[in-house]
Amino acid sequence: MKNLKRFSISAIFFLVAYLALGTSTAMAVPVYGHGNLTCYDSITYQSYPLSDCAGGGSTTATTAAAITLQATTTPAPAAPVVKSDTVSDCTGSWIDVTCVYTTTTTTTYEDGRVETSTTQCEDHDSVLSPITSTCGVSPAEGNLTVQNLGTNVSYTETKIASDSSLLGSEQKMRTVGIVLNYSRDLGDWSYSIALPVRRTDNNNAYSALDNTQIGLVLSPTYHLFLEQVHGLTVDLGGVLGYTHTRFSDVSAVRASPYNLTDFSNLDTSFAGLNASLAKQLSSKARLNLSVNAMTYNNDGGVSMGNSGSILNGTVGLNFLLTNKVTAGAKFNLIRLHQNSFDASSSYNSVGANLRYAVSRRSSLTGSFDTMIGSENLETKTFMLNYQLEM
Amino acid sequence: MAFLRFSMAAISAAIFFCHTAWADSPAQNPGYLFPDTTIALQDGDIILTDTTTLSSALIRELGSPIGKYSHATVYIDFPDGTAKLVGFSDHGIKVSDPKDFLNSNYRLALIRPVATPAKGALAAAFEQLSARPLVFDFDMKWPSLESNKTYCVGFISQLFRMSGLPESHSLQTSMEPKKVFWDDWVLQQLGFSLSVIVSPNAILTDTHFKLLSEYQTKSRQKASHYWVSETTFHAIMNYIQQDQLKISPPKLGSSLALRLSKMGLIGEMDLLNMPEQRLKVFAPLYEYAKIVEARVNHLMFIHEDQPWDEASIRALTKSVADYYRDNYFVSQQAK
Repeated sequence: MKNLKRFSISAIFFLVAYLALGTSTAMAVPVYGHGNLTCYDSITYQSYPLSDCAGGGSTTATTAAAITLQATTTPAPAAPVVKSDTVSDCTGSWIDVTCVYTTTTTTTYEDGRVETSTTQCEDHDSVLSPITSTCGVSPAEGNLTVQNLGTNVSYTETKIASDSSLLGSEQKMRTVGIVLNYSRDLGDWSYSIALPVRRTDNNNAYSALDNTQIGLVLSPTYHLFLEQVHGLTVDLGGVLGYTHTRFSDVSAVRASPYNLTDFSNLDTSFAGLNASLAKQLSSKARLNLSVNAMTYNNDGGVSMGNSGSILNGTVGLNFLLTNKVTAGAKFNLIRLHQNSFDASSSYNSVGANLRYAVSRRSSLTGSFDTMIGSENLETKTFMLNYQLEM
Repeated sequence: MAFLRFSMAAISAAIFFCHTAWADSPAQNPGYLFPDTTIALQDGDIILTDTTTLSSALIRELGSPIGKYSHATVYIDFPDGTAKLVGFSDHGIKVSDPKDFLNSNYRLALIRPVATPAKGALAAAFEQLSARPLVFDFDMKWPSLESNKTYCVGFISQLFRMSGLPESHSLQTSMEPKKVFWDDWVLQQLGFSLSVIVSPNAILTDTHFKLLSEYQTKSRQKASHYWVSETTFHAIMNYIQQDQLKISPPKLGSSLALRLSKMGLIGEMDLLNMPEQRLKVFAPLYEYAKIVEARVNHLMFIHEDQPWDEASIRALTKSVADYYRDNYFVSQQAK
């Protein structure tokens, strides 16, 4: 049992799941995404209200020369109109508005002749176009929201050394996972939702521990510093999640040789905080730092280790190789603490990634992570991640 | 005889090489032509420009008189044979290489003083003025000859006056109707009088100067940058004047960044030297303008297939500005 203090079932499954999620549960939200170009696609022009064109046309005095004027009828002046070619577009610029006053005068002479004449008077004025919701997009509408949809496929191989494993022989696990994630930027805030599904198979002696895991992870993030404004990005975030782990044969685990009488499927809830910093060091190099602290708790009767915590620090560097290709490397310090045994373990891992911009809206990233310097636990994770801006 | 022949050859070679060396030696002042013209810049020429900052937009749109330009620099021939463009902004005195300067601005005007400054007078005046502890006057009041608080147009005027040239500005005293609202707003919100700001556009109407040429960049990128910033500024003016919104307080990140910047912990921010009252107004606007610009640029980037012309870029900017409006502006009733 001494060795099991290091790797309780609940702790190891949580750790592997955590690593397969990309070492950080906070899904990166790109700064900006695709929006609905309502304005661009269909520019609607706004007529300028004619409050400045009050009054209307002026009455025209008509003289009839040698012929005596019998009567002059001047109809009510027509409402002034704005010349169409001076109507503002949706730029909201200072514009020259021309009010055109039209006056129609009808003159009736003694000899019965009737003459109609029309005069126009233009009044030029410079006003600021009062555009509040032109171009078909009001402040509350439109679809300029930054949204991302991603898929992360991972394959992890884990080895637990004999002296730290449950049955005293080497345990090998192979985990295949897929995580769907959606993220949305709300200005100062963003959030991401991830849906992980994983299948873990073990070597023969441990096959009773084969399991399937599903979960839901919510990560809100507050953007404290914005790169475009402050020259660096600093995000403060939280993570809230739940996973259910269903084992292939719980009764076999409860029975000998495991002899874990209170063993059951795992319902794990976890919550954490994270902070990340990113800074462009040069036109081709970018630095990423992040710190995550997370606690987890297993609900129900489980053997060994109902709760614990993970502290993770990551430093990474990414380099722009070409317009479409970015390469990166990172180093993680992970500290796992199991409350039940008051035991802590530290691990280091290194990783590398290669990102390819498939298009201006989508990217594909391949990455590899492995633990280093640990005698009892080895993991190798291969991941393929696809992100699409919507 | 042989010695004589050798001497002649040596002298000829020396003359040849001296001449070649002189001819190949780059002139320290190669002569700078105003873009798209054959007009060479002369000592005392003023170059008016416009930039995309909020302060520039404020001067351009609301200064006296309103016009296309927000900044002024002066071309000075220095005794060492070099020539530089000299200007003054909230970052202090800036001495620029004329070629770089002329290539980096969106819009330029070349203005020449009617009275030619005496040779070396402007350089001497610059040396004298730059030795003073000059600080930027955020109120942009017209500086006296002795004033150590100045701004771009005032700085140039000081240089000219110190060079024995007539004081060169024509302050527009007549208030234009569209500025009635803004005079009050600027006084209340920014704490200075808009009506006293002599903008660089005043030089265009000054009889002591003549406009020789104007130029607008052919750079698509610079033009786009300008359209975005100008449209954003107009959107801001609309929100404040037409929609009667007020500017939200600076966000936590901006407040923190300014404090860290003042402590020297992060790089100097553009707004750092601004008076506190103005900073509270400018910081959210600065952030807003940057956010809008970044978003527009990104949208144009991912939709590169669209024919982005001036109208569509401005229209897109307005949409994005509207989209982010409520993050940076609130109704007057809101506390």
